[in-house]
Amino acid sequence: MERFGVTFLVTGVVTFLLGFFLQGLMPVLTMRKVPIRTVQEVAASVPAEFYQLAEDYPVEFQKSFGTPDPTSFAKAIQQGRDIYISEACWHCHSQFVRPVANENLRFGPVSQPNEYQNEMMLPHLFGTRRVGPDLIRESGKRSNDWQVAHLYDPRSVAPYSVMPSYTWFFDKDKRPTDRALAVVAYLQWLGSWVKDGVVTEPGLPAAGGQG
Amino acid sequence: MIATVDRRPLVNLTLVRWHLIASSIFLAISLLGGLAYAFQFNNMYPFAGIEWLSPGRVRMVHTNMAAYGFIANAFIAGMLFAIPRLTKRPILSDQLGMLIFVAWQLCMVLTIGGQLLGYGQAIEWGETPIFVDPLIVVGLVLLVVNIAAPIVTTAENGLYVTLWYFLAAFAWTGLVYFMGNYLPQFWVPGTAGAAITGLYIHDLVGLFVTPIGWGLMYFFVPLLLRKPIWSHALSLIGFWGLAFFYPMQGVHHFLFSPIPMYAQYGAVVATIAIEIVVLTVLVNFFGTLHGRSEAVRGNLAIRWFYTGMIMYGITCFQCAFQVTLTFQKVIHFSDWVVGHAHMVMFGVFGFWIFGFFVELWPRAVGRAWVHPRLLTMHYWFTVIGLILMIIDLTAAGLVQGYSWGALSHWSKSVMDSMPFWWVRSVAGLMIIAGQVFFFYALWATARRPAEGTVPAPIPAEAA
Amino acid sequence: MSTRKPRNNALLALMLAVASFLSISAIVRTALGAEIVVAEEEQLRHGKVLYASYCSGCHGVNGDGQGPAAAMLIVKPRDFTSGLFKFRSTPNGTLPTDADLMRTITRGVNRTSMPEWSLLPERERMALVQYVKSFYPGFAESGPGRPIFIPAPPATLGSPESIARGRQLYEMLECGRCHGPNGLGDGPSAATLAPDSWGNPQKPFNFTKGALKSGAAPEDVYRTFMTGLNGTAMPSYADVFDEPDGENVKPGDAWNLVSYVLSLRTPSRPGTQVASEEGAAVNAAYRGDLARAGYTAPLPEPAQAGANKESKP
Repeated sequence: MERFGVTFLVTGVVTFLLGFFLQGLMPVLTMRKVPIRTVQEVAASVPAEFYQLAEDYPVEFQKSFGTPDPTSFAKAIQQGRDIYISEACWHCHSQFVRPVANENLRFGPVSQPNEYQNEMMLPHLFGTRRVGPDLIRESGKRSNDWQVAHLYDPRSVAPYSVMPSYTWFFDKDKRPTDRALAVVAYLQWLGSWVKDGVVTEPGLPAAGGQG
Repeated sequence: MIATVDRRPLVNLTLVRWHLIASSIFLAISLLGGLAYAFQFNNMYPFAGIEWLSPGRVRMVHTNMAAYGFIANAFIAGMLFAIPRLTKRPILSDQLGMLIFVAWQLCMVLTIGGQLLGYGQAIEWGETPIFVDPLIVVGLVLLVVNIAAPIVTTAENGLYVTLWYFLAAFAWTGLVYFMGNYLPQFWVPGTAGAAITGLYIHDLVGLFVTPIGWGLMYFFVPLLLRKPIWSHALSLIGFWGLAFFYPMQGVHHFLFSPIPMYAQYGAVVATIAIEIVVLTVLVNFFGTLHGRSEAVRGNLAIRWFYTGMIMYGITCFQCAFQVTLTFQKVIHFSDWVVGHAHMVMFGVFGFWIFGFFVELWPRAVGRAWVHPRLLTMHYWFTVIGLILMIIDLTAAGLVQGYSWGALSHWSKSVMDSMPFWWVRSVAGLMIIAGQVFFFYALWATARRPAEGTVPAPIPAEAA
Repeated sequence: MSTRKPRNNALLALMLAVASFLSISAIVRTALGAEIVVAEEEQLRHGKVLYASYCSGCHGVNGDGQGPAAAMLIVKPRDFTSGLFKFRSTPNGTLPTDADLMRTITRGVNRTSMPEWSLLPERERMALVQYVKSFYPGFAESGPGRPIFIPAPPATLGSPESIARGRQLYEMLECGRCHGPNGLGDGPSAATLAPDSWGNPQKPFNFTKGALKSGAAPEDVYRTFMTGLNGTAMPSYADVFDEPDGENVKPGDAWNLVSYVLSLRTPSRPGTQVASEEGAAVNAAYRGDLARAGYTAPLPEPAQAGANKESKP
């Protein structure tokens, strides 16, 4: 009977591999030629909102990230992404715009494959539910101080919201700590590669310069 | 076909009992987490302002404990009971079994702690912290070694269908877990990573929970009905259909995403195909019930099983539609999906687990149920609560989806969802009320003075 | 006498006709007026409900700009009770028209915490306009100012000559005293500006860092310096441009200043690469697949540059 039993173990492996090939490996192969850009490459293009953040919260920014430049931006968006993950923001906010249901009119241009081919999307944060709106085109939509006030108490700026308050991103005087600033930097990064309505590729060498 | 008597040396009832206890404890944790999270949507979150009990983190505990704490523990208990009886051989080692038990619960505790402290991973259904993942993989491998040994060495002539499912699941689970938790985390970013995560989300349900669940059904239903399964041919179709189609539908979680469209179409086709396979399995089980349908009234375990199967039928019917691009336009990212997930994980597998809890707990503790009426109450509260929740969330999903598609301001979809979210909380309270009866019955039964007899399956309408 | 009798009758008939016309129209007017009053009250009630759920967080339930979020915001929310509104099409010191308020609600104010509300139905935004006006009695008493006339922008707008001439005007009118020689908001007076009319610190606008507050269409910029921003140090330059003296300021110079301000805003980057070669290939494949499935319209094409949305530099 041993051989018969092994059949099912082998079946498991073979069917798994077949499914993995069709649904996992083939998308990987499709994307294989698009270079996977590092966080540093992506952060080379610093959006105006990050410079504004340094002006809006000079003391806190200086303490957390120093001066606004690609290096501090890389640090900020990485930390912001980590917080986004550990607070499970991605459960209630998605990160792709679909080509249906008028989403391009609501959020901005439809998402394209090359936008996600970088280490900031490792792991990807496509999300699972939209209790709050999609965030992949969030950059520049709201000001930094709106984002900060919204993190401290969402219902203060949006009375209908059901988002939790993240008071632990703030010190006793309600001033943002590095965590709040990092999350805001991350949110202002999401979609900062959409310029004049054109979707560019994050970290594309030619698209350098400020903003 | 079913092995008979002489359970003592065969089944390690102590292990079964411990896994059942752990399962019920994690069920309680998961349900309380879910309830707290639901209250966030009524702006009544009980732990507001406490960092490590933030709703986002509690939600991870809710889903992960449902999958790995509640369902996995109960399934291990079920397999520890079923496999030795089917193969007439005990598991490889009782000590190893105990070690796996302790290690698994340690993983669960580390998972809860890690997630609450902010080390959750951004993989849906794989939010277990990265440092727990290797432990879980090792635990799974040890578990397979321990309980696959009797299957591989059995002297029985011909393997029963339950064991096909178990063996395939053994191969699948470790591979799936590794793939889902590591590839998108370390090597594959963006859309390709999303394809793999989608595969993982679905494989967890399809290649771990579903085959073991069905395997246990193929074991318990004929056992309790005291008749063989209706059609061997249909169970063959069911198994091979599942094995072929289930692994290739992951991307249907991300339709209209920037994942290459051929993968999306493939996933849609495979998903619709599997619903046809599901139909054959359901026909097989209702064929088995034919002629013994009074058991649904008289035997609570059978009632749980068949309620779960009806839920399964509804789920899969719903799935065949919602997986199409047409439906996805409206319902994607809405509460419809949440309702669907609850129907599968709790309405199907949770119900089956309650079914064999009813059957196994008296054996595991060596005492007859104390208050059978409490179990009946548990059944009705849970079923009505869950159905209420599903209908509510499905409707809420349609409201949200159309609100978004109509380009109304975002706040409209939130404000219009409020009444639905209230009903959801009430439904959750109802389910939890049901579990209070259940937990009390478990407790009281275990505390009752021993009688030394293993009771027969109890009639549901007794007492 | 007999000759006058018909005339008397005619006069009487005329008087009767006039009287009945007046009374009927009075009745109709009263009835209609009552209806309008009811409609207006209904609109205000509607506006109040909407205001509570969308606006009160920042602007406060009393419209005084002291909502719960106000303390945490850097650019403070508008105090509607002051009657001072920055973005108007009406002359300096007057109240804005409904259309002005409507535009601000619809578009939001860039680089501040005021989001756009374009997805609220027009009926609701109009109700909000009426409710916001109810915070300041001047709207009911004197009404808005008379909107200025904004001519069509000339074809030369944005040309190098126009920008160069705009630069001259920028220096001549001493815009740089506040906004800085290069529009960075760092002019010599910037640090010494008194607080604005609401008691908040004033900061001259930096034209180079992203979106313009009240919109970046040429007409928006034109409107801003022709009407000034009430409550702030930004005056109206209508007197300069409306009657050009022909020497320092020539007719049409207003548009040259617009050209210059807009040229500060967007550092043009000709030939900006949209995607890497490989990225463009996978995007094209994705687009093609969707197109075959019938989902073509909303997909972003590289050719659709310069969309309607206000964007970053």
